Amino acid sequence: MLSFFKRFLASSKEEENRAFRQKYDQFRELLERNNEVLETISLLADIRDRDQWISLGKIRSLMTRTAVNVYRLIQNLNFISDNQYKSLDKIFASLEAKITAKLEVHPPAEQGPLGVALSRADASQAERLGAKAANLGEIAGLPDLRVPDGLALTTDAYHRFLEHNDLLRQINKELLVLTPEEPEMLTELSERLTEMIMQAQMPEELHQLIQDTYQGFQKPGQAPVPVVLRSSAVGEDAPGSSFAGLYQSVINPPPDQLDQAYKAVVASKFSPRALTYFMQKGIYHDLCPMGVLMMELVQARAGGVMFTRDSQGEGDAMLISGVWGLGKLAVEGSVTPDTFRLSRGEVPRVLEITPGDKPCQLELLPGGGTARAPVEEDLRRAPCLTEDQLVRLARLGRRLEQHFESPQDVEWSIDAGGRINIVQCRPLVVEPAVLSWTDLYPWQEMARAAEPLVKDLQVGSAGAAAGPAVVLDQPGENGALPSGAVVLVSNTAPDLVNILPRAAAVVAARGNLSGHLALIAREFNVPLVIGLPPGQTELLTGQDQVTVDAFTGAIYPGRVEALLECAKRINQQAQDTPPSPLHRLLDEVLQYVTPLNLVNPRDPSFRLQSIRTIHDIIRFAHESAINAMFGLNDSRLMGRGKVVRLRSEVPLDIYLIDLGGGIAEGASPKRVDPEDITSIPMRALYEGMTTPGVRWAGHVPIDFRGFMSVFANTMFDGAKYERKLGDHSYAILSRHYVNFSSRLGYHFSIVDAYLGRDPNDNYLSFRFKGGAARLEMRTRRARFLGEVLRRFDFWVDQKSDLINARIKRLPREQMEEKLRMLGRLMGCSRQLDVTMHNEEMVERYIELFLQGDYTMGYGEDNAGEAPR
Amino acid sequence: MKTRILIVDDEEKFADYLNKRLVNRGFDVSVAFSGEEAIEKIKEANFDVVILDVLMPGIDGIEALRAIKNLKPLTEVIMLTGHASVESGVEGMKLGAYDYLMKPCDTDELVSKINKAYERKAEQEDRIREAKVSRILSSPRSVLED
Repeated sequence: MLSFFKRFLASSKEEENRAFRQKYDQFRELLERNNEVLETISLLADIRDRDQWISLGKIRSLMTRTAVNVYRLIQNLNFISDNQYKSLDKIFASLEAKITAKLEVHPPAEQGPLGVALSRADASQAERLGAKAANLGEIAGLPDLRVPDGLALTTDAYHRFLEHNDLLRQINKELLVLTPEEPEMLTELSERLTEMIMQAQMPEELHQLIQDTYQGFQKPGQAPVPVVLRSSAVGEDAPGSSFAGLYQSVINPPPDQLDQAYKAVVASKFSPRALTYFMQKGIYHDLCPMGVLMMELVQARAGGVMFTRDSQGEGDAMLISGVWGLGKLAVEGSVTPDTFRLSRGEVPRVLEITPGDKPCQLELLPGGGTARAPVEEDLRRAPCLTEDQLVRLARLGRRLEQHFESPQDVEWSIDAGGRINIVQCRPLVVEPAVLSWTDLYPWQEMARAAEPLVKDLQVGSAGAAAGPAVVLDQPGENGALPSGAVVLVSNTAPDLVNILPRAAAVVAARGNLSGHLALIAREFNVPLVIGLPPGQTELLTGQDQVTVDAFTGAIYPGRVEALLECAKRINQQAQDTPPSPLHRLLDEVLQYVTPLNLVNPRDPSFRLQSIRTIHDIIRFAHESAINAMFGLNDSRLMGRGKVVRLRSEVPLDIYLIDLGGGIAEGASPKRVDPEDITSIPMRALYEGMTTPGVRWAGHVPIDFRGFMSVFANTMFDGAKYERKLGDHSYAILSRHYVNFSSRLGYHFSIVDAYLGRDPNDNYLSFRFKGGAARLEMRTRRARFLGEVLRRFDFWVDQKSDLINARIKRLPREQMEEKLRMLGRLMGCSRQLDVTMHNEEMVERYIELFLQGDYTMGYGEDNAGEAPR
Repeated sequence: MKTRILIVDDEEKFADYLNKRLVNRGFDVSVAFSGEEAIEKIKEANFDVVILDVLMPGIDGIEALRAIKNLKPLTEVIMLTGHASVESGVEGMKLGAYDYLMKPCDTDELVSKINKAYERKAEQEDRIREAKVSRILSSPRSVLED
């Protein structure tokens, strides 16, 4: 027990250290979640833009994962920043509610009737009855048009049925595994779902309603009236989707099999054919609940189909096809129906009669079901409609077309008394052909075209564009950027977003295919390619114009018209093709997710109030988290945590705070040797700082043996009040992280870097301010630092003597190299400010540093003399 | 000691598959096929990490999560989403779920999440132990209060 207390007391110091560790852990988690959200957003945007297949289930689970990530990310940020951003919770909650509202299909809250008589139905009820039943109800209300008696079993009935058996959950679970890549699993899946539905129990009230309705059709003392149950799914009338013949109808079920017939119609929603169709068309099954229409079945003498305009709705004649008996055979293709063409005038004229060959017809069996019966030999090739009937039918077609204001696809039947019944009516659908870029790409022309200047680039945003190649050095300097240029950049930093509206195309040396910039480039329809090899810049800028082929990932000299034409056609096609319901939904959801409004952290609009999307939240949180981690130094660090002094070779008083993995296990708890540093970024930085030739003393003679003398000897130019910045340097370490803040006399600097396995997590940021000389000279030193860092691909912002520099997303080894360079730069610039007498000095020092003269021209032993 | 895992999923095929994978990775694994069964098992035994399917017949994942957190607040719960709603995801996090993974999930990813969840549990247990010790130090009588 006593030893336990001892251990506990010893650990109370660690307790203080733990606070830092926890912040750091939260910061790491924030980075991870940030990256995952970005990847997901990018994936979804890609699916939308390229019209790829995705299921609603997949969208939902990706969005759920995203919501969870963003929720945690906000928690992380608030932990790191001591709850500075509590209002983000509210902003997120409101976005989440909007996304949920789009994605969740709640059955109507107030339950409507399970059934509606056709005589009381009309087109406005399509949401509850399905389009087919609603249209028939509408037609039944028109003068001169006959529709058999019927009852529309509503989508409420459907939901009641599913709920009663907990079917929706099971169906969704099964469908989650469905992908177009494995068609063989479709049949198996469909069988399981069908089985599930056929075995399900009918809710009592639904069973009763069906029975009562059936009895209502019957006339006492007469032969039983047969019925048909037909699908009437919601969403069947979606533009571009015909659903023709997709679902099952059950003709003439025996009275005791009506429940099974209902279930069979519902189950046909999950037939292999229907599932395939859903996948192709991007239709999600739970947004098209199944209404079922139970209708009196007319004993048909003849039946068939009428298109009120032939040639896919564009011709100038009506097209009627028909067979003897029930019309089902006319659409099934098992017999050759008669076809008739009629003029579309006020008084239709028969233009053409082409008798088919109808050896059999479909008849109703007394005990239920249907059978094929042979047709009398002399009727087999005789037209099933008289001219008078044809004209009457065509007139009805015209009425329907006028009423619904578009060409219609009508199913009709004629009874023994010659009366025409309309049994189905829907808009005639013309399916547009969609071509992919591989179909439209000018392969032959390109094979003959000039060799590309560059090829094998990665495509971040597909398309093609031409323009003069222009190098953009600094994101902030895009004012000078000509519009319509092919912009060459070093990486896909999100700050570049504001060049997109003016750029013809963007070519990046490196970057992230799923990063912010690629995402937005797609939104702006700006081609983006990544991976321009080093040294190729002049090859591109040397041309009058270049054409970026962001299909295959190549760049050609001059304008390649065939490519530009191809891009134009693809854009045109994208505008012409209506998106599928699922892509429409995805698009609606993504409007709350992908757009990025917070671009530039230095812009005054970069604040909470400007957040509109999930993308904005994570961008804001990422930026704020890095700032909050910077805030870790100064007062909060002092006097807390386990601090170990580094036995340093440079005249810096460095204290190390290990969060884990930053210092070798066996190191002394009192003083650590440089060899004991196991933090990857700290090691690299320290190696740079101790590069031979780097003289921390600058030109000022100092006593290397005494740290304090450094400060004693560096009092120049007044500004002594800055002395309070303190004397110690601190490094917070872990295996992959360093936050190194040094306070040297009159300036302070912070290096913050994470170097992990995934380049996307990696970043290095550097902040520097102050100096001992007067402001003008300090500013010159800052300019020197900034210019050097720019040459090494850093993003740099300078405001007088303050430097903010950052570089991100490089592989670990390259980041280490940058850190070594930074260590050298920090070392040899330490006291340069007092020598910055004029602007030329800046240029001279830059040159010397780039040449590798880290003594800045003073030589190893020449301390104290200014260079000539 | 091996990390004790409870898999909760009504889909037996999936639960068995996961069971095998996790046993191979050196975990001590139990399985429950419903929320009710899971709650019974959690009453009887201690688990470090529960892997919970969100959509189950009977009491669903969110309700089960609530019950588990009531019974054993320190037990970490990783939710598996199939067709979950965005709402339920965030709600689960608010109720104290450790994280959500998408189903079907990558075993490596799941194992890494389990390990992190276990670490969090261990840390919280440590903290509670220390709090207890400091209470005892400041007031030795409090030993008698537990």
